This record gives sequence, C-alpha cells and structure tokens, in this order.
Amino acid sequence: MVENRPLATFVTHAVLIAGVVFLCFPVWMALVASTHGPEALSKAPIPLWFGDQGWQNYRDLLTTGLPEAGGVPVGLMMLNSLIMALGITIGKIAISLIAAYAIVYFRFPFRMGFFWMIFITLMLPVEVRILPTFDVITRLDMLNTYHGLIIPLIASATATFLFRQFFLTIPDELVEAARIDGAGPLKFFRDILLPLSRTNIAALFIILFIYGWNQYLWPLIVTTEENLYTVVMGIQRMANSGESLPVWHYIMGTAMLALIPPVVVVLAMQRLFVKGLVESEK
Amino acid sequence: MATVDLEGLGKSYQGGVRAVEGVDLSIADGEFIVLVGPSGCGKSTILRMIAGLETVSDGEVRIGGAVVNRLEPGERDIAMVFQNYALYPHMSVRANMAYGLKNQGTPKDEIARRIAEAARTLQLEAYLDRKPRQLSGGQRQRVAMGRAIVRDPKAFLFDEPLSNLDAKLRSELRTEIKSLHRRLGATFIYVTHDQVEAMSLADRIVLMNGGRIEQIGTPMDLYARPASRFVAEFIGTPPMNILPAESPAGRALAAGARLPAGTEWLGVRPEALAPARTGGLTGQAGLIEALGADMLVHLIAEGHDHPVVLRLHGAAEVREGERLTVAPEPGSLRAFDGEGRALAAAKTFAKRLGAQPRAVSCGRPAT
Ligand SMILES: Nc1ncnc2c1ncn2[C@@H]1O[C@H](COP(=O)(O)OP(=O)(O)OP(=O)(O)O)[C@@H](O)[C@H]1O
Ligand SMILES: [Mg+2]
Repeated sequence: MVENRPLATFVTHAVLIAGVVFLCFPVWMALVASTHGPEALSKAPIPLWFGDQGWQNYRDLLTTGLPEAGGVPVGLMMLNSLIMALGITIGKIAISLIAAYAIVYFRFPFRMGFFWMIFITLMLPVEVRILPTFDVITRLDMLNTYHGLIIPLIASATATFLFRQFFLTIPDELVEAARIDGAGPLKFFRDILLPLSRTNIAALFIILFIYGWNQYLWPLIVTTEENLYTVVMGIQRMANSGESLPVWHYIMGTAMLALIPPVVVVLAMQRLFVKGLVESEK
Repeated sequence: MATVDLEGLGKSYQGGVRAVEGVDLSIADGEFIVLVGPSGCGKSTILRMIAGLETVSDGEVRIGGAVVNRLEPGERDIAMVFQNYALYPHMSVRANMAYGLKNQGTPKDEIARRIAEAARTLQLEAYLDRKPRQLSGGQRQRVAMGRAIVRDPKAFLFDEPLSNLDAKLRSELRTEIKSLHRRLGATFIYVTHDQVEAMSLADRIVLMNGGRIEQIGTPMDLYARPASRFVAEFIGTPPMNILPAESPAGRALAAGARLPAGTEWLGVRPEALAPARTGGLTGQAGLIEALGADMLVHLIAEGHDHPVVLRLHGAAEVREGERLTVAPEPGSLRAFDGEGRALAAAKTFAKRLGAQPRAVSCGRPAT
C-alpha cells in the first residue's frame, strides 16, 4: 500500500467514501426529516436538506407530552431509558465482576458446577424466559417500577464469562505478591483486580449500555404507566399510531435524540478503552 | 530479622504428588541460605510453605520461634521476590513499594522515608514515578527488591529472582543482593537452580534432590566434601568425574590409593587431576575447551566410555590426540558406595606420585 499509484488511490478513496455515504445516509435522512413539518415527508420528493421546523419540533418533543407518544414528553422517556440502561449496565458489570471473582479466586464446593450453571444461562435470552420472569416480577409486586425494569436483566453470563477469562490471565504471582503485602480478598479486589480490569469494564460498558438502551420487549411488558415508558417504546408507539398518519417528523426527532446517549457513552468509554489498550503490558 | 526453622516439613499436592519430604532445617538469624537443586526437586514448594502461599502438609514452619503454619502470608512478616517480578502493573514504582506498608497501616511520612531510603540503596530514585512497564527487567527486579526492603521483614524470600535476566545483569544483581544482605543483616532464603549463584551467595547451601535434602553445608563443604555422588555431580562446572572403581580406568586412577571398603565409584574434581610421569590414568586428549584462564581437556581414557575432564592452566600446551597420563592430587580422590553415598576420603599414598605440585606439572615450557 505504499506504492504511489494515483488511480489506485483514487479508486480506494472512492470506494471508502461510497461506503461512508451509504452507512450515513439513513441517519442523515432522519436528521433532515426531523426538521420538517409533518406533511413534507408524506409527499413525493422527500427533502434531502434541512427544513425550518427543527427548533420547533425538538422543543415540542422535549417539553410537551405528545398524544401520539402516550402523552409524555420525550425528555421523560429519555430519562427512563437512561435510568434503565445505566441500571442494567452497572448492575451487570458489578454482578459479573463479583461472580467471576468468586469463581476464579475462591475454592468452594461445586465451584465448577456454578460456573457451568452460569454458562448455560447464556443460552437462555430474555425472550425465552420471559413468561416465568414476568410471573416472578408480578408476584414480587415489581410491575411499573424501575427495579422491575432493571433487575430481571441484570445478570449476565457473557460478562461473567469474559471477566473470568480475563482474571485467568492475571499471573498467580500477582495474587501471591498481594497476599504477602497483606491484602485480603476485598483489598485485592479493590486495589488490584478492579484497576486491572478497567479496559474490560470500559468495553463492556459500551456493549451493555447499548443493550440496555435498546431493550424493547421487557419494558413493554412490565410497564403500563406512561411515565415509565422508555424512548424505544415511545418511538414504536408513535410509529404505530393507528388510524392517523404517522408523525414522521417527531418519530425521526425522537430517533435522533435516542441516538445521543449511546454516542456519548461510546465516545467517553472509547477514550478510556484506547488508553487501557495502549497502557497494558506488551 | 529472625530465625526460621523447618521441622519434618512435608508437602503432598492434590493427586498424591509428594513434592517435599521430611525437611529439617534451622536457619540462623541473619543467615543467607540458598536452596538449590534440579528442576522439580521442591525448592519453590519449601519457599512457598515458608511464605504461607502453600499449606503445610506435615511438620512445622517456625519464624522467630513461633509456629506460623496457620498464619496468612501477610501475617508472617516476610517479603518475597518472584522470578517474574510480580509488580502491580497499574501502580507506579512508589505505589508498588508503598502498598504493603499501607496495608499495615504505617504512617504516611514513615512510608515516604522508607521508600526514599530503599530507592537510594537500589538506585531507583529516578524511576519512582514510572510504571513497571516503563522499566527494564533489571530495574523491575530492583523495584521488587525495594518492595521487600521497605517492609523490613523478618525474612526475605527469593524464588529464582535472576532467572529472567541476561548473564551480565545477573552477575551484577547477584553482587547487589549479596551486599544488600551484608548491609541489612537480615535472614535471606534464596531459591535457585544455578549452582554458581548458590556458591557465590550462600552462607550455607541446602542441596535438594527429589523433595529431600541431600546435603546442607557451606559452599566449600559441598564442593570439597560432597555427601553423595548427586552432590558431587551437581556442584562444580564441569562436575566431578565419576568412574566405576572396578573398571580399568578406575583402577588406574586409584593406583596406589587405599580405598574404603565398599567403594563402587571414584570421584575426582577436574582441577585435582594433573599430568604425571608415572602411574595414574592414561588416555588420549580429545576435545579441548580453552576458557582463557584455564582449559578443559576431555581425556578419552582406555576402558572408560565417558571422557574424564581435567582442568589445566590456560597456558598448558596440550594438543588434541596427544597421549596424557594424569594422577589425582593427594587426598583429592572421593569414594562412593553403590547407593552413591560418600565414604571416607580415599587415602592416597604420598610416596607414590611422580606428581609434582600442579602449577609446575601443567606442561608449561620447561625453563
Ligand atoms: N500445584 C501443584 N500441584 C501438583 N504438583 C505440584 C504443584 N506445584 C508443584 N508441583 C510438583 O511438585 C514438585 C516440586 O515443585 P517445585 O515447584 O517446588 O519445584 P522446583 O524445585 O521449584 O523446580 P524449578 O526449579 O523448576 O522451579 C514438582 O514435581 C511439581 O511437579
Ligand atoms: Mg521453582
């Protein structure tokens, strides 16, 4: 690739730029659509450039309760989504860190049995176990609550497995040095294991946050009150508004707003992530 | 600083591996003990039992007179230096050294004072704020030593600390460890499989074989008076020559010497063999290794299939293929029984030898 061939360079760039345009086009369309009035998108030449309604649309979305979305402002739905996604992410990371720590560093009866049990749950996604889970949540009186939204999704075999694999790569001598330095199990976890897992935590944070943010089926089932609706549900409701015309400008605006938190998380964590990769030993 | 005593120490690993068996050892306060032996002989296991990283299956470990079998490593007041450094990768050099003290609840200014002192001793002052990955192997191992020093422990444990370093650095750090021991006057227990390290560092060497102690003694004890064939062949490069006493070569070597009853094997150090006019072992000089100060001649003796190695002065004039007759210096012949145990030294008849003092007989041009 160091050869200097203008034609090849040109073709390479053309192909890459075409790819970028192809990937970004839907996002661009959504962004443009969110700045027009409701009719612009139902008529033949779909606008490709910004309209003049943008300000107005977004203010409506964030502050007023739209009847199409069940009467709650998108701002509230975003907040709900954020609470749910953060709860799921932090919960998943905390629990899987602790579970992996137990499995790797402690000798207790049926240790491998527990490990395989956790591992097997990998094969049971939310959708498969949704009925029993719903039943449990109902009996525990957790319908229409934040913890009802979060707790059933909080265990993660994948994350446990990843942390386990990472912990296994930490040399035994490090554990032994810490023991000689008088660090008990909790100190070792806090002072050595956690800081060393930083990169892994950052990477998982991104994946799990997006997973939590995009949850649709579960929130749909456990929430019946509008003020607990998440933004993904909101979009769906607006799109299926029955008889009346879908309010495309609002839908697209909501979609744009719903993009922001995941993008922020990716950018913030990526910095940590890259730093961790560069810093890690050899 | 304290004594360390091992009594009837034994270790069985899961699956019935018997790694250590009946080890008795009393280490004096301030002594430098080196555990040496071939790979898998249980050196690390003993060290790790002293440290508390392995449970003790049988016997007792006492540090400063108190039984520590059930204490956590952190409660034993020992420090350990590992082969691959085992520094905390995310902490600076300073934090690495401070960690153990912090866990003990040492006051901040005391920690700072001790780190400054250790850094000065080990010439680490310029690196205190670096992370381990920004240091060379030798510097990392010095940090690991610093981490041990600041703790001011009752005993220092080293598990092959120099094995990952190149030869030059190894000998540099070896001297450093030796002078550190002299300055601190603390009890050092050091594991290595390198007999040069063992010889140059130890006050006393503990030579292990298959989980048991083969011999305990000063380096010169082990070298000059090996308790068994195993010790004779382990200590010294090249090792002691061993010949069957009843072979023609063995008989030639022992000519004129009175051998203890039951002698099956004869041993003689390469430097204890000197060219002689009469008597002794005759053979043809095979491979010659010139090492500068001296040379190693592999003598192919008649009736003996392993070459007998002799160490001559570097200026000796010996050519490959030349016929040589060599005889052991008086009192240098070792006798071993069928099990390889040493018997009382073979008495050599002083009168017999045309062998003159070695320096003269080394084949220097006659003046
Ligand atoms: N965790 C373990 N489980 C089972 N057997 C073990 C374990 N650790 C060591 N062993 C066995 O115990 C014996 C002694 O091991 P040890 O590590 O003490 O040897 P060593 O003398 O330190 O050898 P080296 O010079 O190679 O480090 C070996 O035979 C080894 O296979
Ligand atoms: Mg070892």
